[in-house]
Formats: sequence, C-alpha cells, structure tokens
Amino acid sequence: MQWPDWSGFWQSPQWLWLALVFLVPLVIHLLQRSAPREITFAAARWLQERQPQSWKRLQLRDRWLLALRLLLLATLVALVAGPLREPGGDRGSVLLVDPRIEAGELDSFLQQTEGFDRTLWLQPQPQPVTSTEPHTGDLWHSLSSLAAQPEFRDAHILLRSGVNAGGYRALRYSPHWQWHTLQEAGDYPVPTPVMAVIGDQPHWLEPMLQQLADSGEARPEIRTMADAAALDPREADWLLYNRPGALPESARRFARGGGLLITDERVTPTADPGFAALTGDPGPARQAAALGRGSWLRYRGDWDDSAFYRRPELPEQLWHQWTRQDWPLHAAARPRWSVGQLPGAPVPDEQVATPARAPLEQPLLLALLVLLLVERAVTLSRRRADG
Amino acid sequence: MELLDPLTLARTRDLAWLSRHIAAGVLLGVQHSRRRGAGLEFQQYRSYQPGDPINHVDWKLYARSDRYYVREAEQESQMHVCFVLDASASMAQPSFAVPELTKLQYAKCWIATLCWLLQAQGDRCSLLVLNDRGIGRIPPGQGEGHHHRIALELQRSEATGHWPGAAQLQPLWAQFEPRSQVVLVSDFFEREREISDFAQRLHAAGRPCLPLQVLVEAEQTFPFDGELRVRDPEAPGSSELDARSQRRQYLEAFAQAQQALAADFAARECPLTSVQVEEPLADAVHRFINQHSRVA
Repeated sequence: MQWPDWSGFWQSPQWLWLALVFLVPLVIHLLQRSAPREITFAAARWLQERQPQSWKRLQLRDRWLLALRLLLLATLVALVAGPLREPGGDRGSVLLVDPRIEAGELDSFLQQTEGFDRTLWLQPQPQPVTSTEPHTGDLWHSLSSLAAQPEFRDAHILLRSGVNAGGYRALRYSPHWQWHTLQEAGDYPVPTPVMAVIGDQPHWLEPMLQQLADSGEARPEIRTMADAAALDPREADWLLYNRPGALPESARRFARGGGLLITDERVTPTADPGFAALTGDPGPARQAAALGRGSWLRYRGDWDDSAFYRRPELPEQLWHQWTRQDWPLHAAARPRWSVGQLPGAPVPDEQVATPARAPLEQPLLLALLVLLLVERAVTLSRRRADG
Repeated sequence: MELLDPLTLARTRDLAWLSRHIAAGVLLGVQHSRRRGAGLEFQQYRSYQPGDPINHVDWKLYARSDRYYVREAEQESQMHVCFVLDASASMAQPSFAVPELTKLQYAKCWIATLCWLLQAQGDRCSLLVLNDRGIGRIPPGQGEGHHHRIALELQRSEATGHWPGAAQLQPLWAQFEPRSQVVLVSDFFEREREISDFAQRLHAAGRPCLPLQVLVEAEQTFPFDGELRVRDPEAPGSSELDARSQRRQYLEAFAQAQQALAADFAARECPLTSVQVEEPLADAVHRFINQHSRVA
C-alpha cells in the first residue's frame, strides 16, 4: 500500500478552512460545559458547596471525547479531501538504466547528472541497480511494458546507445520519458538472439548458457515451445529442435523464413537439402544447409552422447558456431530505432490508470467507522451514567 | 400474584383499591378464617361493592332479597395505630430511575396498605399528615369506610414546606391516646433534629414510635457524573458542584448520618426500617412487619 506524500499539504493556505471544521466540536464542548445538569436533590445537605473557582470553568470536560471527535473529523476531512490531493503526488525522479551499461559507466553518468531519487534496471519489473545485474533483456519489450505504468511515466531512461535493434511489435512509450544515451549512434551493438527450444532441452544446454552468462557473453533468451507450428521467425531467431525423427514442415518453414535451425543427426530431412560439412574449427563436427532465407545447422551424431559434450570448451565453441552461422547478417538486417525518432505509438495519459486511491480510502473508511462507533458508545454510556 | 412495578404505583390514582391489592399480596398464604378471628359479633349489613371477598356475601339474604349484602362484623379493637406522614418538601423527591414516582406517593401507598392490613385484623387507625403549611388529620376509626377516608386524605396531601414547628404540633399531642402506637413515615432529612425530637418525645410519653424511612436509590448511590447544579427542595437557591469529586465525600457523610439515625432509634428499641421507592411495596411492608412483629 502506498501512502501519499503529505509534505506540502499544510503549506497551502486552502487548508485553513479546516480550522473552522475543528471549531465545531470545540464549541459544542464549551457550550456543554457552561450548562451543568440541574437536579433537585433532597439529600443536598450532605453535599459540600464548591468554592467558586473561576479557572476551573475554563477547563473542558470530557477531553478524551473531544479528542475522539476531533480525530473523527480529521478522518472525515481526509476522506473528503481525497480527490483534492495531487493525483499520484510527487514521487521523485526515476532513472531506468539499460542493463548493458557497466557499473563504471553508470557511476560516471550519475556523477555528471544528479538528482535521481531511484535508479532501477530497465526491465519489465525494474529492480534497483544495487541488486545483481540482470540478463540483457529485450529493450524493446521492457520499454513497451513500462510505458503505461504510472510510476514510470516521467522516468529518465539511460541507454547505452542511441540506436538500438527494434522488435517485431510496435514500440509503446511514454511521451514524458527523458532519454539519455552514453553513445550517440556509435557502434551498433549486436542484439542478443531469442532462442526457441522444441522437445526436451538437451541437458548440456542450461549449464552452457550459465557458463556463457558467467563469462560475460550474452545469454540468449530461451522460449520452450511444444510445437513449431506457432513459431514465428520474426519473434524467435534460433530454433533448437530436439525430437529425433523426420523434421516437421513447420520447423522447416521457420528456417525458410529466416531462422537458424539447430539439430543433431537424429533429425532427418524429408528431402536432402544439400548439406555441406563444415570443418576448420575445433568444435563438434557439423554440417549446414541453406533453407530459404535461413539455414539448418546439423550436428553429427547424437548430441546427448558424451562424445559430443565432453569438451572443456563446449560453451564457447557452440556459441561461436551458432553466432557465426548467419546471425550477424540477420542482426544487421533487423530494423533499428533511434532515440531521436521513436517508432511506434506513445501511450496517452488518458490510458494510464491513475494511482488507485482505494488502498488509502478503505482504511480511512474503516477508521471512520470504528471512530464513530467508539464515539457513540462513549457518549451513550456517559448519558446513561448521568441518569 | 406479581409484584407491582414502580410505574403502576406512581400512576394508580385509587389508593384504596391499590392498597387492598397490595395487601392481598402481603397476606398471600394466610388463612382467611384465622384472619377473621374469633368472637366476631355481627354489626350490620352493607351492600356489596366490587372488590369485596365473595365469601363475605350473605347468600341466604341474597336468596331472600335478590341483592348482594355483605355481613360486617364488629371487631374488638386491639390497638390504636397512628400514622404520621411527613409531607415536607423533601418528600417530593422523585426517583431518578422512575421519575413519576416520588417518595410521598410511595409513602402514601405504604400507609394505605398497612392501614388496610390493620383494619382487617380489627385495629383502629388514625392519620396525621404534617407540614408547616397545614395539618391533615383523620381521627381514629375502623372498618372499610374509615380506610377509605384515610385513603382520601392521603390522596389529597402534597409535599411542601417544612416539618411543622413546636407551636403547630402542640394541639396534636392529645391525639396520641395512651395505648397507641405511632408509625412515623418520613425520609428523616431534618435541619435541627426536629423529626428525631418528635419521635423522642413520643417515646418518652410511652407511645412507641416505629420509624419508616423512605429514600430514593440515588440518595444512597449518588450515580451522577459531571457538572451538577443541585437544588435543595427545603432550602433556597442552588449550588454548583462537580459530581465526580464530590461523590466519595457525599457517600461517607450520608452513610454516617444514616448510621447515627439508626443508632438513635435502635437505642429506643424501635429499629429504623429504611426502604427505597424503587423496591416493591409489598416487600417493604413485609420488612416493616417482620421488624415490628408487635404491629401486625
């Protein structure tokens, strides 16, 4: 639950009228005090007449009840004045940092540009930069998912490069974002491929990716899929197909559409696409064939066999083989977008849900109810005790 | 028979009926034949009135005349009981729980009830209603008609003024016959022991004075809170005070005064019976009778 920032609440003179509201119970108590209850009491002779004490007349009776009533009014005012508060309030400025930026670069940027209250990684769920550095995600996807979140509507965004690889869907962004880049256009970074896996993941895949990430190489995003039919070459770059038998037509279509199909020799083509053996580097033996706009990389033998994966250099070798195949070409062919000319559509303010006030109003309403009950109970019990 | 609630007590106008109703409750379980007593001599026939016990109707006479007659018997007078009711302004104090019921109303019902019980056993009753504005007086007598007269006089009386001075009391002393008992009904809120002195003087003259003190509950508990403006009905003006701070002191002073009063009467072997108007009247009558078994 987020409580609003009340600083500055009392500084504006429009709240002075509250003083009038709080005068009401004060006046009631003053009036009540000035009119004592009158009784006829035959046994009055055993009562002592009080010395007239003028100062005591100024004392308020039932100070607890008065405090309760003031509190009740304050709650009521807070409840009623809810819509008058600044929507959302001032949350301070947020800096969203491209995960590809090194810690040193970030430090030097923060020294030049100050005044950020929070510095978060640019991710679908932003985490503070003090936490571990996240995997390089899809900037395009991260930005689109943050565009409609009110918390980040006015964020500052720090990118490594002014030009970045685009995605398949339209970019959604907030018109209030302020962009910062470390390099204006500079070298265009090769984007990290998205890898789909069909069939069981080969058991060497996860350790391999982990080791790649630990050694500082990029770690591709893995999407495990049941069927190649739903696979779109515009959304995934590589397909690791691990189902022995004939290659289905959908996987072939993916390769023809521009993807890289990776299999071992247990996967057989329906018609020979004209494999050519690739040699000349120390990795596992493989053959490749061009399929439409993409290609098929087929490893010799069974890759679940220890002869395939018992190599100290396996992660680097496989990564090298995969990225060398035709990834630079495809990456370079992908659309780019620059900070200066944003593609896609801005998310207008009307579509952004204002921060819900319900979490504040419900406890206030509850408090009001409880206070009202307590106040009534105290008052009624007083009245009964009086006679 | 259910006990009468205080509100009924406060609202019923017909004291004669009410007292008989209450007395029936007090006498619940007492055998009629015993109550009638031995050696009753026939005195007169009287026409039947609603409320008369049906076994008093003379059925033979009814067969002859086709009218209901009640046999009235003359009873040997055992005793003369004189009721003295204090009708000073403090007796107008209403109960705080049942504002319709005052001490005086309670005392009237109480006297009428006891009077009915006494006349039922053949004793003679008389009544004195005392305050300094005037003195109501019913001479001794017996029978239902006499009970009606007492009930009427009680109904007429109002609580006002103070306890009468010595000069006003002077002509009354002759009323207290030698073998009479006095039942003094008051709240015993006195300025200078004037009521106690009255009882003292009766006692010294050999007329036992049986005291009944009528209070309201609030006088014994002082359940007030906050600022009060208190008016004493027998004193001019009013005083303001803080109930909470006064309470302890008041309760102590009141208990002390009560103790002194009770000790005063206990020394004369006439224990003080103290009742609250909030308690059922039949209970109060019972308590009084048990404390002074000589009376009933």
